[in-house]
Amino acid sequence: MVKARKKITLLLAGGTALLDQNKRLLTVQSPEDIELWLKQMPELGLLAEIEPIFVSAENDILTPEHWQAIARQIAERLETSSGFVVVSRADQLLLTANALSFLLQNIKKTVVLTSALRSGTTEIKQKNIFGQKNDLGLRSNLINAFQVLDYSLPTPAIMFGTRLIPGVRAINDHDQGLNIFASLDDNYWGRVDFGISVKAGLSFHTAKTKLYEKIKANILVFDDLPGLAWDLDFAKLKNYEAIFIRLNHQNKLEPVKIKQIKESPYPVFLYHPTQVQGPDEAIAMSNCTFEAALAKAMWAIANKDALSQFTQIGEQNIIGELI
Amino acid sequence: MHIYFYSNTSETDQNSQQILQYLRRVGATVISETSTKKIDSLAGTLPMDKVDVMLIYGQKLDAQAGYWLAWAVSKNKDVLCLLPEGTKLDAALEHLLTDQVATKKLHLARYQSNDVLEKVSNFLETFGQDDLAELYNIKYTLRLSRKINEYLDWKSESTQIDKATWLRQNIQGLMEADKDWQKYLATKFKVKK
Repeated sequence: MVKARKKITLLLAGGTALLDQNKRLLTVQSPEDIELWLKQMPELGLLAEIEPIFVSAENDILTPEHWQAIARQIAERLETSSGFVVVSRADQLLLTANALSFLLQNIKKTVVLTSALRSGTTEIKQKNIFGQKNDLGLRSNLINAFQVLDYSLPTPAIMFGTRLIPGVRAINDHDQGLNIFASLDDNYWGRVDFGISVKAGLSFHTAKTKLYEKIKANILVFDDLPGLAWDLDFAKLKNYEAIFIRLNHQNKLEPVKIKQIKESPYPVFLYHPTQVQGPDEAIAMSNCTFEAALAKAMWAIANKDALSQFTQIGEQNIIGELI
Repeated sequence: MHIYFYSNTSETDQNSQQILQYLRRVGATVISETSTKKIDSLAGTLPMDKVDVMLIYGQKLDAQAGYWLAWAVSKNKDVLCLLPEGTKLDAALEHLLTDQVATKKLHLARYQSNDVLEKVSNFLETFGQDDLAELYNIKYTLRLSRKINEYLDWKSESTQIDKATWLRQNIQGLMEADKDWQKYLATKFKVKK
């Protein structure tokens, strides 16, 4: 079957490191770098007509403004683009994928995120990986990401190494070499062996598309360990809109901690991967990845007024993030 | 030699069948895929990176052929793209063929109905002579007797050449002196009329 040529939008937000034929490091630090950068991968032109969009420089740390910008660019092109590939920092790819998943709910175009193995020129130099033959993985990752756009994926997905993973289920994998991401519940949407095999039956959500413009990061995030105290001085937390506590245990919280949560003028999210034991005043988040829970909290805080049941947000399976 | 063969013509296409038969006859391990039939069972036993050559054959470049071409170029694999004489080239492929780096490995051959095997044979002949064929990149496990091992140890010591190099040098000497081998090489890729 001969398919029509795709017109894809390539959003660049870090994670762009590749080596040219002389093993020189090339990244996209400004819009002016894009032409030379793309020239290193002329083969991409075989797969699609590419519209590149600069979002942030290789060394930039991504913030909600960047995620909002990516979502806005995608929303503006939903009618005209065949699909979207977001190249973004590997160390922030999980949160980026989750942020986009909550901002772009039920869209009817495929969004795939990918990256080079390392992000930021400082980190690359420190790791001294210029001699690597794999060219930091970006070329293959991009080719596979472009190819995946032929499929209707329900939510933004991460294509990295040999795995295609739903963004809301993706976690770090430190044991698998080039596969630095895995799926929390072993649910993969595709694998690369000889070409890409994408799981049968995937389709866009039939629910109405909901596009959100805002996501907020003014949330105080910290880990709780049993026996180690935390003392929240709410007067000093004026710049925050919420508190997000990751529980490193399944014990009941100590009374002094419960008291602080009850007295908090800000919404308090309590996260544990499987089970949360906390006071009713807290918003329990479980059965999802940490990044999914955090992105959900960031999205919920930013869109609080539009959400009818804000305090029950942890139990609502908004985009398939709950397992 | 491991060859990945992708064809987007119909399953009854004579050329496609002949190419496959030819590749197997010259001793290549072939993994094949057509636009209607998924990859054959051999694929599971061979990592994609071990493919030496990619052959793409068809009436035109479809999305899957584009994917394989892009993959091969990105991995610096030798690739032959066989397209019919006279057909208009895809603009992206045309552009890629002007890229100095890509064209070191990417080859386009325009075939007519009766010369497709010749095009494949010409390509494989040149492939067999490149630097890659001379690279010592194939790992070999060889079982030896204690006596042979002792000899290799002694030889290595007395010549100050490590055992693997000594073995390679001697095998190369045998190859150069072997007239039958030379004759075989000269006709290996020739198409039988």
